[in-house]
Amino acid sequence: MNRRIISTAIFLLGAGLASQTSIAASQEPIQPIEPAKVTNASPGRTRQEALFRPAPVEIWLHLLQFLPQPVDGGHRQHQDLDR
Amino acid sequence: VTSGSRPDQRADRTITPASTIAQFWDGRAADLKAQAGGPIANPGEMGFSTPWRSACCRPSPATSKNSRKPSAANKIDIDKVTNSIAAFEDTLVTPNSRFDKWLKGDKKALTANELAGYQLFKETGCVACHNGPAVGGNSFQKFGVVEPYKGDSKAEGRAAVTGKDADRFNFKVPTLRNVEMTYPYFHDGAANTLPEAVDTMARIQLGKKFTPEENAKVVAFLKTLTGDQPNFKLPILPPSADATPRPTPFDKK
Repeated sequence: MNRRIISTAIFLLGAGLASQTSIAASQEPIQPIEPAKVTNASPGRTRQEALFRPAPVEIWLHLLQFLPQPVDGGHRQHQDLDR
Repeated sequence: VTSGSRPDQRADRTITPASTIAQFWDGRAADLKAQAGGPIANPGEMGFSTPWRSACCRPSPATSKNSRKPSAANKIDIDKVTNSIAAFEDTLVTPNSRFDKWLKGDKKALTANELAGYQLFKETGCVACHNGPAVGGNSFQKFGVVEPYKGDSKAEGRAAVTGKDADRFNFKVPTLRNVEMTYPYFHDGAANTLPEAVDTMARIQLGKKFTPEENAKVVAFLKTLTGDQPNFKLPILPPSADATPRPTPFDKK
């Protein structure tokens, strides 16, 4: 019980101090400046967009994996080269 | 550095630009996008003519060799260029100055001398114009309220944009963020040091003469407005090729 009262008191004290600080800051004629919010943090996507027509190319790349694969992993045999 | 189309004015600042009322000292660009297009086309700066600008907006030969034909959605034009520059400039903020830390509750972030400077800054009336997150930049004000400003510049400020006589010598109030790093001061760059700028501002704007001690305190406060500077990697551009369009030197135009 006592522990609960103490933790509640500490929480309220902390919250009070925090709100006092923010009130003090808002009463000043100058306000803090916040870091920039970068909304387009995706350089990989941007580069892709610049180089390809995104949707069709991506669809074909995805479809390629469903094509039947050669048993030898795609390596041509010597006899194939001789033909 | 002077502003290209206004050689009688020093370049406006691009740090913390988004929170300002308009761009350039006379506010001739409404926003960052409008500002970004100015220097590209300005004959006194980059001087890109329309055909040259169009050529530059095409992928360079080195890039286009390795890429497919761009779709309409991927086409680069001057509109996209200025949008991109504006988006980049939007990120040029400098948070975490010692004064910001003090505002957020770190009472040890400022010395007694710097705090005394801030008190003077408020009590004297500087905050009437230099306020808000950018410590200025949010209004146009007459330069020389109490006493006319005597300088060599022929710039007439906002009147050059609006054509109104009432706007003569009205300039955008500059942000004071990072002010210790942005000398020389005023629209014409006439003040080389912060003490000189503070002295002139107090005299012609507020009709007050600071003692050397008071001036030093205000300057000490202003130096607490320096925040974390932008840090970014410069892009590695593709090499130029024989087909890359070349600029025409200014003296051959």
